[in-house]
Amino acid sequence: MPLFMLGLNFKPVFETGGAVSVEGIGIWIAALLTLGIYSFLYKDNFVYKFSEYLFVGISAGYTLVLTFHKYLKPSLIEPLQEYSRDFYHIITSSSFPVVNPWMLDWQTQLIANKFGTQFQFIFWFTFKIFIFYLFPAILGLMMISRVIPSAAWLSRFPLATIVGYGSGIVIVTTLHASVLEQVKASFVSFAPLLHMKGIDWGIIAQSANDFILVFGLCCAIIYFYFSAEHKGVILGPASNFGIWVLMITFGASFGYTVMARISLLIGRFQFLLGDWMQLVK
Amino acid sequence: MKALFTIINNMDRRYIFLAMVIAVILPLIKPLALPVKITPNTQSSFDVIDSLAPGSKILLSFDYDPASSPELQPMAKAVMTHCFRKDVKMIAVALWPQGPMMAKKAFESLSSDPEFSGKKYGVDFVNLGVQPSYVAVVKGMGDSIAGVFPTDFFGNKTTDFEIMKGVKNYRDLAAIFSLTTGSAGIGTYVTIANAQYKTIVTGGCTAISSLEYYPYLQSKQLIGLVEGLKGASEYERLVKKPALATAGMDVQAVVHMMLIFFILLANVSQMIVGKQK
Repeated sequence: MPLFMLGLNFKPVFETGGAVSVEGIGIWIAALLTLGIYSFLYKDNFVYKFSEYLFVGISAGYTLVLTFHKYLKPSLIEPLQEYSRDFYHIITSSSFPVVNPWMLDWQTQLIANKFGTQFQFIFWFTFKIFIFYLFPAILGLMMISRVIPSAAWLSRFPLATIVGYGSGIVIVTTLHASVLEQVKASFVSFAPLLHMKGIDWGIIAQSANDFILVFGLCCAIIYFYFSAEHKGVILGPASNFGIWVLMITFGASFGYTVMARISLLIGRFQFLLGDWMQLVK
Repeated sequence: MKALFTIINNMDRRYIFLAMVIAVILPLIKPLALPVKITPNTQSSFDVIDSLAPGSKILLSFDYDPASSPELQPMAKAVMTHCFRKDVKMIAVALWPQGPMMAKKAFESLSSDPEFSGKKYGVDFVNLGVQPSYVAVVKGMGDSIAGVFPTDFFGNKTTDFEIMKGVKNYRDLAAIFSLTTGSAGIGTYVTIANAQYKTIVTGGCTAISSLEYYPYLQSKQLIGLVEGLKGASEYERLVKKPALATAGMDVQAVVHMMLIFFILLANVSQMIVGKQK
């Protein structure tokens, strides 16, 4: 029975003139692979495995190509090609050729600072290429040494560089944004409640919120205080309340997780029912 | 009664999957138009954009990939709709490799709308693409945006665009709006752009990451947060342009009710059958 007789109007793979629709083919492939992945819900099967392996393979391939074209090529290969060409011009020319704009600025500065001999220019030029391109490239290659057990120790150098550089950038800002500012935000004032004239439910609600924040924070911290046993008049109840605070947080987190996962399911069904079956707009 | 609960206890879980599929499909085909209440977090985020003067420039950071697009792409379109209507210029960047493609799709989708036919690439919106090492990128933009992104996603020189005239770094931007999934995004902008350069940071994220940013909301380091599909539907409602997120919220409501029903049923069944054993 033709599909249109069932009230279904799937995305056509051919355009009106009879030409193949690339978009139509793409949508059909995506829809069939989506169904292939969902077929696992019935039971593990060949179609699911095929779709899964295809997804993993394409993702890895896509990431590799993207990394090469978006990161490696513009940040390393192209500049090295360009500078190699410039370097060739410099050493084969008696004058200073200007091949790209940054060289013009840099060369002018060097001459102004009386570093204008060709030898010095070549030295600084080589030094700059080494520092900005070759040295990071060598560090990157050292990272791959992990695949050879006898040379794996070489990968410690690039790792140390990454850790040092990352820490240098992040420590100060994180300390400021995620510790100092957060501590500051936990110092709440109950002055509006104490000086309230009449009953202002807005102020009461805000003060209650602030109290829960400070009390909950203290109790949660007490739960993570392991230098004394959690019993007695203060530590026992406070630690128990801290557990409640944490449980409520985990519950909220789980609720959000469910919502996020359902959103992904909705997205797929909007695609299947909309783009593919054209049942919904 | 015991027999019924024994059947429920031993029920094949595939019936639940089937019920889930039906619960997703029916509201999509026949929308229920359930009400969506605007939460204060979404309202605050909306207000940040709404308070900007026409001609202001914001950094719109696409920090997600297609896997998170069901939640974040409708959000991106709603925010861009708002900016276009307010004549707020958007400088799009990405901290995720696939982010620029998401920005491109969102701009193409909106520019085909007759309402925004006058909006031009390079004047009202520019897509500067992605650069590696997101912490260094966010830090570097504090000195020079064009220095970090010398060309746009399509290889054109960044400083040649009209939208980039007078924009050097964060100080020349009215706000940063980051659409985030994972670690790179709102957190990075708060810890660097807000902490160091005092730039207003707002944004939207997948529902799963939203709790992570609540401490920043409390401390006012983050002004407003559009959370997941629900937040996106609220933003669509605020800009009076219901779209995919609004349609998805009917499904969310039905599926959540069904999940609660199944959880209660399973627990009651377990209690009764388990007790009798």
